[in-house]
Amino acid sequence: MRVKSLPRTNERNYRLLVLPSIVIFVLLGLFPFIYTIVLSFYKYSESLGEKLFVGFGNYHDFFTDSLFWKVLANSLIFATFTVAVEFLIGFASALLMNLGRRSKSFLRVITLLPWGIPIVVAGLSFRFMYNDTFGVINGILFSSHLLHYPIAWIGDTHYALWALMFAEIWKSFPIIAFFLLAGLQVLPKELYEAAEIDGASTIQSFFLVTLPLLKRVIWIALMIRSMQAVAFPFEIVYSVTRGGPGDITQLLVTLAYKYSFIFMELGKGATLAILALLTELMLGGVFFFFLLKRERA
Amino acid sequence: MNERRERILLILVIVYAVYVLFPTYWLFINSFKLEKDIFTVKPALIPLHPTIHNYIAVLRYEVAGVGFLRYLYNSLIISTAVTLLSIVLGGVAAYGMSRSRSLVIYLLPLPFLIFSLTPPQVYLNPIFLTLKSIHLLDTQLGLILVYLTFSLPLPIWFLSQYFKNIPIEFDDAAHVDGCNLFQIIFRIIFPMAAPALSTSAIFVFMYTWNEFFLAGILTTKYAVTLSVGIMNFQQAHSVSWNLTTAASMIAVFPLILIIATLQKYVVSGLTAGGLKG
Repeated sequence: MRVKSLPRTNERNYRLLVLPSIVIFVLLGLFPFIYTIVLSFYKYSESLGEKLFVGFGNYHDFFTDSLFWKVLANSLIFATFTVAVEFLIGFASALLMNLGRRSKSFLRVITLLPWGIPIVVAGLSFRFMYNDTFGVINGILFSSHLLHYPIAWIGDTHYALWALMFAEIWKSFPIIAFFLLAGLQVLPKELYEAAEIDGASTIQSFFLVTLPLLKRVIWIALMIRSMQAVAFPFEIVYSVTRGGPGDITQLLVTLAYKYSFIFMELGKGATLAILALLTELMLGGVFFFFLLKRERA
Repeated sequence: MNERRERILLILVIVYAVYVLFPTYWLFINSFKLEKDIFTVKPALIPLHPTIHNYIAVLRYEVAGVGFLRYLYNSLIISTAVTLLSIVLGGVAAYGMSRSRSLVIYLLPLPFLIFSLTPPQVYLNPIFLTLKSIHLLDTQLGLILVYLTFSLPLPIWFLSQYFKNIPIEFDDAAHVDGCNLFQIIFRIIFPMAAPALSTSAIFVFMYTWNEFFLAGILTTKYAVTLSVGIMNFQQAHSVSWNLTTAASMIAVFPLILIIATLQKYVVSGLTAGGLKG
């Protein structure tokens, strides 16, 4: 609590400082958000210039469309699988960065690289490596005689979603890695010394000291990353698979784009955007529920 | 025993480094290859006939009078403008939020944080229609305004947390010495928060430089940025990987420079989330 003692700057001045940001936020954030909700109840075709109120018609159309359920499942698989693997790689990375002595700065710089480059550049690099005729992945597999016929990693319906997810994992695991690194750095050293005196091996002290102490940080990292994995995968999908083959790797946010800006049906696109937001909130809500439950226990 | 552990650790570090570096290395190496050396079943891990022809071709690339240099120029202008605006507006707002005695204003960073976690698709259609109706589609100004909105949460959240830890007594002392509010902010508070300002600026710059989705829809020709421009070499009928890789490296180069030289600030921004949460 701050005390009201000195005749400090007028409270009104603080409000004026906040005002420009609020105005921008309302005009280009809040207003579009409300308008998108409204649009989701309209049949709005940009090319035909027609606007027709249809109530929950758009929602009904999607709920009875098998493609929607397929895409919703994709979004959930995408979020859970990528975040789970990102967590494993991110944890290994955080332990390495925390441990390394001479290599400390080197490891941090190279870990920042996947996170720092544009998503489309990372996506194109994977698209390039996945190519069935001149891609380096097939090339290496050929050279080492692990493969005798080329695999179309992003052209084959069996592999495309996995190929896409491994690109996303490479791009985003550093976020979890640095999250966990921050958690590792504040763990008290004395606990490890005590565990060592008690005869715990490195592996034992990892499972008995490190993991339990990091639980909270881990939950928060998983929550935020899963929400992001529903909300922001457009660029990686667009640069690696473009949603194909067919609609095999289409996610909620990419299908929203397709409806709005390929089919030019801005109403249906808005409906999908809202459904993506609801999916993200529900997924975040599940994590939040467990976090609260843990906190109370 | 200890030596064996060191050796295992070294192997782990090498495997990790290869995994993390390879996709970027692969773009880098192929940007110096001739097209015929790229289209081969067993691609070489180093360029056999290194050439800078791809870079020259990319820099000379032009379609209907608008070329790659224009994209580069757009990216520089837009990223710089958004970074400056969002640090000044966001920083000033963050200061107001951290000092206000009104609970509503004190808690304002929260809605901005939530906003930054939601899909841009939720805002895009109305933004598209609005920019279209006021003729700001495909203009630098239009994109700057939209990016400013989407980048403001970062400095507001990050700086308001930082400012809260600067005792208000500093403001009082400056006030007694005759500083007005703006002098307090720009001469006393901002210099004290220089590391946090640097971190915010780096993050906003990288966000605008890398952003693809919004730019891809809100620009078509004159205001196209680098990340969107790279896709020009990926047309359905003509995919040229030698030019794609060179264009990608041009977009990546300043980012590598930032990461390598300003590592400390970038890491502090990424780790802040883990501790605050």
